[in-house]
Order: sequence, then C-alpha cells, then structure tokens
Amino acid sequence: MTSPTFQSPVTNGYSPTPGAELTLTDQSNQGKMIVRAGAGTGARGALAQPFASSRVAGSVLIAGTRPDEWMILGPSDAVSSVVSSIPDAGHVSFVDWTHGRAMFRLTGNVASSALEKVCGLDWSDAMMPNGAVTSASVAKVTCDVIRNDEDDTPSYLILCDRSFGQYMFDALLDAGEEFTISAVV
Amino acid sequence: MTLRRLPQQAGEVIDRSQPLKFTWNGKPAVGYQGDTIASAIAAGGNRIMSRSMKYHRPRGLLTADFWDPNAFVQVDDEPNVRSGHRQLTDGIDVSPQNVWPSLDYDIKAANQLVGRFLSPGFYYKTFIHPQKLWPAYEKVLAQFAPGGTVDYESEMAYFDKRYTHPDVVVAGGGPAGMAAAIAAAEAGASVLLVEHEHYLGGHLRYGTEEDRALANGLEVAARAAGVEILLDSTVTGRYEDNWLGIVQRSHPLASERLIKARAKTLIVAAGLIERPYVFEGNDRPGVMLASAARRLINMYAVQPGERAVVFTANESGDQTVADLERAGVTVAKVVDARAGGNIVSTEGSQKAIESVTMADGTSVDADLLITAVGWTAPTSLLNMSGDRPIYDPSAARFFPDRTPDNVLVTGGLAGDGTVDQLVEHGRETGTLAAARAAAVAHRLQASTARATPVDGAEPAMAADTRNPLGRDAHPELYRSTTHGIVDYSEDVGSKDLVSATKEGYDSVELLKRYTTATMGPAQGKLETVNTVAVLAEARGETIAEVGTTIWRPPYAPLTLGALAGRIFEPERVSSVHSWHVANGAKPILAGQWIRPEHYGNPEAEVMNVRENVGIIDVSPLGKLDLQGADVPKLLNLLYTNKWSKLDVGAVRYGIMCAEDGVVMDDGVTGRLGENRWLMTTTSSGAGSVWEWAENWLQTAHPDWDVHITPVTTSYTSINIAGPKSRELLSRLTDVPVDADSFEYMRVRTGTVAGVADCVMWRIGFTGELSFELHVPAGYGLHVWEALMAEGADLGIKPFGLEAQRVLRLEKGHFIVGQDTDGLTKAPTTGLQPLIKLDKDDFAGKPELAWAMGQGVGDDESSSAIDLPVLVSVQMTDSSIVPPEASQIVRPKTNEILGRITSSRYSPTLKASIGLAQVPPAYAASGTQLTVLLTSGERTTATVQAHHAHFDPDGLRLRA
Amino acid sequence: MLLVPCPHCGPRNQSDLRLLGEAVPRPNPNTATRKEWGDYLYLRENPADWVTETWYCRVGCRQYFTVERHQATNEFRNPPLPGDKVGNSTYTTITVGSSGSQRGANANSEEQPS
Repeated sequence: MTSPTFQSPVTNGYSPTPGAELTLTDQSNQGKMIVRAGAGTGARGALAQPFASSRVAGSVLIAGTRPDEWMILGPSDAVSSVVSSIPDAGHVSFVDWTHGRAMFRLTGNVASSALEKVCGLDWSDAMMPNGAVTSASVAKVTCDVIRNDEDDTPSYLILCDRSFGQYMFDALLDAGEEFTISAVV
Repeated sequence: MTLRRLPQQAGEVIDRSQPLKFTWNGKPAVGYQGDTIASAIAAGGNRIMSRSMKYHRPRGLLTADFWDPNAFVQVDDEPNVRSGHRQLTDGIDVSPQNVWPSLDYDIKAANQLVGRFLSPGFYYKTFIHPQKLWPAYEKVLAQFAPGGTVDYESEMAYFDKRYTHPDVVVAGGGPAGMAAAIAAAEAGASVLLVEHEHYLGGHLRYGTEEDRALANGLEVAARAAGVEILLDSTVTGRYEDNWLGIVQRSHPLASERLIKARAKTLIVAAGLIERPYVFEGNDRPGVMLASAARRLINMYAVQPGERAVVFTANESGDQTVADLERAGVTVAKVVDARAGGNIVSTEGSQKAIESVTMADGTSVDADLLITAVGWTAPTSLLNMSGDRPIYDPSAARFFPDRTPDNVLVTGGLAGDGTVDQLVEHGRETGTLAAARAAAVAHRLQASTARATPVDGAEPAMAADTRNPLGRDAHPELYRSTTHGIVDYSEDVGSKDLVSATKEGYDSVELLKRYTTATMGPAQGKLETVNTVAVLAEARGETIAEVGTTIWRPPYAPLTLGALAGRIFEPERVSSVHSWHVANGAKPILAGQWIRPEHYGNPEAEVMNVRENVGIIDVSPLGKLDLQGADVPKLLNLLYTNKWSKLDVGAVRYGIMCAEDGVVMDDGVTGRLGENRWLMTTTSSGAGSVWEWAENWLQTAHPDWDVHITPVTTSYTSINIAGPKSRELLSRLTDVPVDADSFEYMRVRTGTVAGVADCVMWRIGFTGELSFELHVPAGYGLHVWEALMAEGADLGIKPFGLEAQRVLRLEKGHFIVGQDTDGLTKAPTTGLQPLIKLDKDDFAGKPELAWAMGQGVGDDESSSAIDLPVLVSVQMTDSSIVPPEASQIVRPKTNEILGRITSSRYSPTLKASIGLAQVPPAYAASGTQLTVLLTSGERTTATVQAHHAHFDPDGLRLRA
Repeated sequence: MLLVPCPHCGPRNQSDLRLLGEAVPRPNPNTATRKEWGDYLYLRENPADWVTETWYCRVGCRQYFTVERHQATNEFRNPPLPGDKVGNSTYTTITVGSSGSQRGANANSEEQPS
C-alpha cells in the first residue's frame, strides 16, 4: 500500500502567468489549529491577541478570528509546538483544522481591487490594515481573511471550507483576471 | 429630405475622419464615430424612427437622448435599444420596432382608427370574460405586443460586478456635479463621479463656446484632482445607509458592470429633464424639444428641419432660435409663452407636420416645431432617500424638501442660476460632502474591530452653510387647450387620463396603474408631471394638491445580466470527487454538493451491498466537534432523547425538533473521549443545526462550557456497508473490529490505511453491517482507493446516493425534509420512544407533550392532535412505483388523505415500496390505500406492520 | 442594504447577518399553557416604533446580539457592548419554529450579499 500523502482541495492543474500583477498561491497544506478559550482562562493570556487582529510569531501566524476563537497557522510542527505551549485549563478547546480548510494567499499591489470584485467589504488600508483579520462572504462563501503583507506588498490569506477549495481558487482567479493573475499550486 | 448633416459645427462630438457603415431599415447607411444611432439615422434624412407601441403611429425624434420614447430600435439580435443614447458602431444592422410589415406601411396602424376601443383599461374590460377564451385572446394579442425581437440563440454576454466604498459619490457630471466632485476631492475625499451620458458637462455640451470651454476646464480639473469618472453610467438606486447601485454601460471587459457602492455621502446633481408639451398633434414627426434640436445641431451636426416654429418659455428656447438660424433652418415664427403666446395644434400627414396653429387662430407652415416649455426635476434619488419634493408653481417644477445628512443636492435640482452660480453651489456642496464623509469615516473606522484605530472624538456632522440657489420664474405650461399625447412610450393621451379620472381613477397612483401612463420605458422622466397636471386640471385642483408619484429604483433601466453580474454558484466537492469523475459517476447536485448519484447501475449497487460490500462517499454529512464539560446538557436540550449517560465509545441516534415540535434534523452523536463528542447532522442541516446550537448556548446558557466547531469538511466520510464490510475494514486498520470488540452503535478511533486519527463508528443506515469512517480529508482519496484495492476480492463496488436511498427505504428510515415536512411533529414519525418528556427541558418539549396528550392543560381524556402519521407502504402491483408526492385519496371522492413521501422499486424484495403520510385512522397495519398516479389512474398500497420492509429485527446490522 | 451595528465586528452589511426578529422571552416549558407557548412562537408586536430584536452575525463573528431598531426609520440604538453577555438580558431568542429553521435543500448555502 502506498503511504498517504496530503492532497490539496485544488486538484486542477494551472500554469503560471509570467509578469502578472497578482499571484494566487495554494497553501492548503499548512497547519491550521483552532483554539477556543473562555473568559479568564490562561489560554487567553498566552494567546494575547485581540479579536480581528493577528501577529507573526516565528513561523506561525496567530489570528483572533472570533471573540473567543483564535487560529494558529503555519507549518504543522511549528503550529503544534505553539499549541502545546498554551495552557488548556478551564474552558479551552483545540480543533485541528488542517484538513478542514483550504487556504490561499492573494498577493499584489492591486489585490484589494480583485477582492472588491468578489466581496462587499471595505478593503482600504484604514479599514483593513496589515494584520487585520475578518470573516467575509467571498464569492458567496464565508471565508476567514487575514491581511498579512509580504515585503510591504499587500497580501491576504483567504481560508474557506475545504470542500469549496477548488471553487474558491477559480473564483479568485476570475476576480484577478482583469488585473492579470498567476496561479501557484 | 428635410434632415441632413451640416458642415462642421464647433462643438460637434463626431469624428468625420472615421465613417461607420451600418444598415437602417434594410438599407445601407453611414454615420461617424461619435454619432448616436439616432443622430446617424437622422443625418441620413430619416424623420421617422419607429411606430408607437399601441396605435402604431409613426414617430420621430423627440428628445434625441437616452429618454427618447420614439427611438427604440432593434440592433442585430438586441431589442429595445435606445438609439438616442447608444453610440453607433461599425457594421451593425439597425431596424425599427413595432412595424409590420414595414415602417412606411403598417397594418396595425389600423389600431388608431379604432382608437376609441383602446381606451384605458380596454384589455382589462374586454378580455376578462369568458375566462376560458383567454388562451385564444392571448394568441391574438401577443401579435400586438410591442418591442423588438429576442433571439434565443444569442450568446450569453459577459457581465461584471464590483463593490466600492468611496467617500463621496456624485450622481451627475454637469457643471455643478463636476464642481462638487473637484471640491470634494480637493478636500481629501475619494470621489466617484457618475455621468449618465457619454460626456461630462451636461447641458454645456450643446451650449455656447463659453459653455464648452467651461465644461472642458472642469473635466481637466476633475481628472487632476483624482476623481474617478464613470461615463455612460448611472446611479440607478439609493438604498439604506447610502448603498448605491451604479450601472456602467461602457466597460472594456463587460457588456455592463454593476457597481455596488457604499458612499459616505451622496451628491445628487442629476440636472433637469426638458418636458414635452401636450397639444393636438404633439406626436407628429417634426415636433421636437428645444434640447433635442440643440443636441442634434451642436453635438451631431444634424439639421433637424427646414422651416421651424419655436414655442419658447425660457432662455433655452431662445438659444435654440439662434442655433436653428445658424444651422440654416428658417425660423418662421417664434411663439413666446412669456408674452402670452400659445400653440394649439399641428397639422399634416401622419408622417410629418406641415403647419402649426397658434392660439390666436393663425397658422404657419413648418416642418419642425420646437417646444421649450420647462423642466422636470428627476428627483428619483431624492425619493429613494426619503425626501418628498415640493411643487413650486412660480418656478413650475418640484424642489427637494428634506434629505438625510448624507445626501446633498446641487445643480438644477436644487435651483436656478448662472453657470457660475451653479458651479459655486457645486463647489460648496462638494466641500460640505467631504466634511460629512470624514465624520462618517471616523465613525465607521472607530467602531470597526479590524480597522486601524483612530484618534480623537468623532467630528460633528458639518452644518449646511451653503448659499442657496435662487428659483427663476417660469410659466406653468403642461397642456394647451387641446388634447394630445402625454405618455409617448405607452401611447396614453390626455383625453384618456381625463376619462379614467371620470371613471374614478382619480388618485395619481391609481391613474398611473390603470392607464399605464408613466409606466413605459421613459419611466416618468418625460410624462410624470404632465400626467399630474392633467389629473389636477380634471380634479380642479393644483399640482401641489394632487401630488406626484414616488420614483423608485432603478433610475434608468439596467439589464437582468447586469443585476446577475458574474455568476457565483458555489460548488462543494469531497476529496474523492476526482475519483468519482474518473470512474463514471453520474453527478447530482445536492444542495451545493456535487455527489455521485450512481456509477451506472444503482440496482446492482444495492444488491452488492446486500450480498458483498459497498462503499459510499458521505462526506457532506454534517459534522460538529463538541468539547466541554457541559456537552451532555446541550445534547439533552437539542435532542428529544437522553444523553447524560452516553459513555465514552458509545454512539446514539437522536432527532431534533424546533420549538414548534416539528422535526428539524436527525443524526448520530458519538462520545470520542471524556470531553469530546462528534455530532453528525443531515447534509442539508449542517449549517442550521450549528447556528441553532450556538443560539441556545449564547442566548440561553452562556454559562455552559461547550465549544462547537464545524468539521464537516475536515473529514472525508465513507460508509462501508455489507456483510463483508468487517472483513474489509479488518485488513486496513489497527482497531479490532470483531463483533465483540466493536459492537453495534460504538465508536473507535485509530489508523486506517496508514492514516491516523480516523473516527469509525458502527451504525446502519443501510440496514447492513456497516462502518462509517471519518478520515482526515487530506487523506480521503488515499483511504478510498485503499478500500477499493483491498476489497477487490470481496466484490467491493462503490455505490451512490440512489442506491443509498433504496437501501434506507428498504429499512424504513425516513429522511428529514423528504418524509417529514413543516407539520411533522416528532411523535408522528414512529419514534415516540425517543421522546423523553420526563427530561426537564428540551427544544419543542411542550408541543411534543401536547401532541402526545400529556401536555399542560391536557387531562386524561384529551387525545393527541390528529396529525398525519408516517407509515411504510407496499404497492399491490410491484411494477408500479408511484412518483414521490403522489396523493393518497379517498376512493370515491378523491378527497386527499395523504401522500407518498418516498417510493422506489426494491431489488432486494422485488417489490414496490414506499413511505407515506396518512391520517391516524389509515395508519393501522393492513390498511388498503388508494394512490392517485400522475396519469390519473389509481393503484393501491397496503400499510405495513413495521417501517422496515427488510430485516425488521435488525439482525443484519447487528451481525 | 442596512449597516447593522454588530457589537463585535462593527457595522456590517445586513446580508452578513441573519435577523431573528423581535426578541421575546421563552416561557417555562413545563408550565406554559398552549396560549402562552403559541404567543411565544407566533405573536410579535411589529410596531412602527422601536423594537428590540435579535441578530446573528452569520458571516462575521458568529455572535448573537440584541439591538434596538426603529422599524419605520431603520435607525439603530443601544447595541450591547462587546463584553456583554447576550444571555444575561431578559430576552431570549430561541424563537425558531420549523418554518424559521432554515431547513431545506439549500440550507447550507450562503446567501448572496446583494
């Protein structure tokens, strides 16, 4: 029997578009952990990240996705090591969402213009600065969106249910077509 | 030929170096880049553009712009094109509408001879009785239906959509609108300027050289200030909190683009629309508005006639006289309304005017009559902002009353003035709009969690200190002493309005709907105020007393394609989808999921599960991860049965009811660990059960320690079913699966095919020995392929939804939403043992108690509510499978008693089986039911003793 | 499209939330009469005035909250502060009858932000 290898929800093939303004990268294989922590728990103190914001901690990203929920994203080992450092006493729970969510990164100076074609949120710097976290309806699918710029270039992590992964990847490519976009899978 | 192209005009927008060929009415024609279709047709000497929709009267250009009611044409396969607006392109085929057999000779023009029969309400009154003749009437009337021809073979065009959040949106790019946009942008606001026409400048474009210079200067300044300019675009609607619909008709990538804008302030600078005059013969070709003549001469270099009478009540009419003379038109007479002059009729043929008669009885020969009788204020966006504009008789038009803080008005809508005064008012408005937008922006940013924090207190809404524009006196000119057409697009005359008023349709909203005046393509832009004026006259009241209709979105029509935009239809697939596709699965859409219905032969798939082993991809099954000490409390609240004693490793089935006692979902929940449970829901209930559970937790029991996380797509869910399923699973897992180690209704976690953290539970929806695997989705395909490979010698086959439906029906398992409906209370599903009324509380408890005769207020003698009961049935004739939803009727009377909710041919039993909802009196085992088939024939069915048609004792699934 | 003041996210498009209607107290399920329970399920005041109603921030923070809205003008007032526990109010919101339980083939579909 072959040994199992992780399969991305994006199963169609794409060839890159050289010189495109935007890139859309499939990062579905990244580790993703949900932490839920009630008021007064030690976990909240350890996470120390307010709702709707995020920070980079080494190779992982810690995002406050809901008033009592955090998402930890990054290489699976690094995510596990952060999780193991979070006190689990009290009303605290962990769910591994690595397999549950597709994750894409949309990068480029006109990335917000592409998002404006699929989402009704205000993507201006004032309303969605680097580090901001929100949940939004993107192409009619509820997604977590984290602004996580790369070298001062606007960049957004977009996470949706894995089953929508292929649809979402294609919807984002369609939104970016007007500006030129390259798919990286 | 009375119309022709003039020599070069100073302000023309056509490019004579770029001639464009097209056909008009089947004949070759030529125009220039920059022409509208209408201006090119007119330049070719054509006076008649179309025929009217009801009487098929020949019509010529009236306004020569977007609102021209007489200029609808067919362009290639596109009907109802506004030729006064649409720009000419090379090679198009343009034909007139409402003409049969031809523009010159029209059979249906006979309608006008019998016009008195086509009075308002004619169709309502004439064709209502007898009703059975309506299909025949419809066929005849359809021939008379107006409009162009739809080509069903046309390729679907590409439409686009985008959202935007500008500080200020300016609707209208005339002098005031441009000035407002510039001032707002200079004050630091992001500004979107939306202009309906192809050019900025509004009326300046067909004005004097100074007018054009001013328009050009403002346009340069607007672009320099960073204003985003959309041409040939319209703000079609204003909704709550300045949510705006904007249609962009000219876009390089799309046929049309719909922009949804959330503006912090909206500036309405829509200008004014010139109003036609009502008099006898006012729709004869050659009667034209002053603005139309000026557009044709100054922008398109088209001479609109040879000998003109000008009826003027304002400066715009006066300027037209100069324009006409410069264009070589003889101005035979100027009738000045301000000096008491009036016109009463035109005379001539149907196709052209020959003379104009004045109120003093004199007549002047002319082929062109220009009217300049005043303006309609297009207050649509103000109406949509909650404003109810007020009529000012001294200025003969409506003015805004009160708008919300975030909607400002400038330009002609706000008042009159010199161009400089309009520009100044625009500038002040733009500055004010920017200040108010800043206050709104501050509030939004300060209250939005994800936004950059802002310092300081929220600025106050800036006060309105603008210098108001004045109002020029203007005579009230709506109808002459004669009657004429009021609504050109709907062929409604002032006589029709008067007679409808006499019939009692004397409120403006009623009159409008009864006569259809203002309901045609011009949507009131030209005819609303004339309609109101005629009504006021008939009622002996003033226009202010009668009031006006309320303009609703859209301001200008947009296509259904634009509304639909790019099509987003989210599709969900499991990790095994590519395998299904490669192995011939017939796809079926279930909610948003694309699932295999079968792989070629559903009956064989059923038999293979009964005899060997099959696997089905059930990934869409809703799954919720539940953690926390108080999960049993939540389960007790959501389900009707008891959950406190579910031990680790156990799985239990439950049904959930809404508060009205109606079944809303069902599924199994297993306890994976001391503090961890996995709940499954129906595929379609995954989202709503989650919200339902969160609702109870957050609003009723916020003190409970429960965390719910949706994990539906975290797992690929695979059901292995059939007598050989245990053998198959044993080959792939480290978990002992023998009957003693892994009993029915138990859950285990372990490794399957090398994949760790798989959840397995032994349950039996199909009625066979079966194991449901929940595999981390990234490895779902791997496990599926491993099962297929390892099961080859066991006769493994995949099975789809159809086989599963048959298998579960053979077992008598109901499906929520198919076998139950919005009236199905839990006790009628045959699962009374799962309803534990001795629990303290659960959703829907009182309703279930009443349904079982044990509720508050029920005494010993009171009976349960007489609700339909779910029963299993077998058809007498095994070759007849009644379609689902077939009625069960009382044999003699055909009275409906119930219905078949599920039905299939059972290959296992060689019988036609089903589930049905019937009244309690028909639910006893052995009852004969009469089933009405769609053919009208009947068949019979017998109520069964058990829900399960097959293996009622469940020996197979417990094997 | 209303902007609804979510106490956690801030103003959001109405299509991102679900309106559950006027908040009404849930009677004691063990003592309620048929009339009391029927009123709880089906009777609402629906005045042209201020009402306290429940919203669910469906697309956003997934929190339920109550807020006052004027049904004639669509103004909002008094949303709870982010720290407030909604359940501590005197209102509860479990008002869903089967017709309101969003069941059906497309129950898990997202609604279009329009």
